[in-house]
Amino acid sequence: MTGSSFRYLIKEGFRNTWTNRMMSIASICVLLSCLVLIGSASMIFLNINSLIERIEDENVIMVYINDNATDEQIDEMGRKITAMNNVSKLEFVAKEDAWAEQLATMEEAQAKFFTEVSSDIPLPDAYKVTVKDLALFNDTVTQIKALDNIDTVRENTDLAKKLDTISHGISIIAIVIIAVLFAISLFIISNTIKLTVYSRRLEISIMKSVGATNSFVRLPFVVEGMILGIVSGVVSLGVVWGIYEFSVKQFAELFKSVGIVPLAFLDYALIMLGVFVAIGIVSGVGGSLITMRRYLNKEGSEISAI
Amino acid sequence: MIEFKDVTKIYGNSETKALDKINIKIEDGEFVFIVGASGAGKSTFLKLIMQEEKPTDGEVVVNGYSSATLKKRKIPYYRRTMGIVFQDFRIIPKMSVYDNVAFAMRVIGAKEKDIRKRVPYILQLVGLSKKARSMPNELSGGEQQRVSLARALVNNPDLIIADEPTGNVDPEMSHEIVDLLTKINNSGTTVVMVTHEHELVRSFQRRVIVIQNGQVVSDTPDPTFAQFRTAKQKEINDMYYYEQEVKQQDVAEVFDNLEDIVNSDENNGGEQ
Repeated sequence: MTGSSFRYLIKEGFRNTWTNRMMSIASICVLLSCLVLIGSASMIFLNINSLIERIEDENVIMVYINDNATDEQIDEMGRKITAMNNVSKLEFVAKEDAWAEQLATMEEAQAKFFTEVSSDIPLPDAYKVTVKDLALFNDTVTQIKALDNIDTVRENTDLAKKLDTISHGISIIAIVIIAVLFAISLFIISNTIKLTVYSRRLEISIMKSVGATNSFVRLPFVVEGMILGIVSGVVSLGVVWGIYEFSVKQFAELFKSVGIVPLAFLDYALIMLGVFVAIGIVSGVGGSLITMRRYLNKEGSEISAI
Repeated sequence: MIEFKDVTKIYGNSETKALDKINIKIEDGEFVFIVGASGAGKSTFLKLIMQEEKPTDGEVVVNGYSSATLKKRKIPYYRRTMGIVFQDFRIIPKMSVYDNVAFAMRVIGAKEKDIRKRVPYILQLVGLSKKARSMPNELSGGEQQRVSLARALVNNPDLIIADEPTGNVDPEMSHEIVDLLTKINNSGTTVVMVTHEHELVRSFQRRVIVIQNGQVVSDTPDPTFAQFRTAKQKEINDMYYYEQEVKQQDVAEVFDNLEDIVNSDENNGGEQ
């Protein structure tokens, strides 16, 4: 293919998109709906995931140390806990600090009562252990319980388990939704291109009659698919952004009350644009190629009957 | 050169032979009329030349390409050696006359510089220089067919295949189209024209091949000897039936008589 015919075909792709603008708009709308759904699902997933991560961070094991333990024993215990595989963070909470914190949460009279009753601190020293993987939470608790000089171990295995299950479920649902929507976009785009191809079968039959190769016939449709994909990708990003910001504003109070801090859309905008344009191009070009392959092997191979 | 060697064509599982052991040889530079009624096998004949269909049996050799050895991916390059003119013109309505003709060059990857030189020349050849910027809907049937012819000619083919090119134009324009094809033929291009207009064929002294029921029933360089008549005559049971053999003179007479009748009726009415 010469440079001039390549330029001609690219120009044809743009011209065809504009000439069949109603059809192009229809394709863009279809792809846009799919991408907006994918985008919205992704943003919901990302937010839930970030919420889970935050809860996971807060999901700690409180290891209360026996009052009789010496400083060396406490240090030794700290070293042993840190050496455990699933421990991501270890923090020593001195009983003085814990008690001060506790008093700070009380009303003045109540705090005064406690301090006047006894000068002793009723709380033990403790280690605050953050785990890496919630799935191994139970094992870590068992390992800690086996250590010496432990008074009590406070943990919430149930919550840990539930969060882990929710996180897994959300990942699977999101992947399934995205896969289904992608398949739908591919199907719809290929059908829309089919309509475009049929509306241009006269041109195709003329092309074939004067000796156009299949790749020459195909290229303008591929360019058209690509244009539709890129436009849909860019527009979808704007729409998802709009919907996201609107929802964040609308449900600000609700989110605040349940402790959700919505993610900033702009942090994900560039990645999402790339993904959207890539999905758009793959569906547009893929849809065109599927349709053209079928068409050129059947009806499109005939030039005398259209 | 076009050569049909014992060519038989059967479509699908049908038992009817669209073409039955056809042997034809058309030399380079010839002008041949292919004549036959609907369903006689003319279209199959053309499809085999265009390599749109493969023969069930036998071999078709055109411009050195054989149907037995030609690969599917080579067919586009093979088709570039010929120009095809259709009965329904096949002009792209949204393109101007110039672009319709240039389209055929663009499709085979011609340079824009060559297109700008060649298209005006071809439009001049078919007498459409002044209509280059016109849109197809602004043209008459005859002019549209000339655009189609220009498109077939623009890539300088060795062979022109015209599938009933006069089917959608008036008789006067039909003659002009065939005149134009004759002019093209005189410059050395082989012309194969399919038609069912016997009158037209008779008025041009060219080779005539008559196909009936998939077989060549007559092949003669002089149309006077062509066996146009089929063994089975058409039944005249349609009031709109128009027989090709009815002379223009006879038709004129019928209209003259009708006018007389109408006039006399009016006169009678006036007297009352």
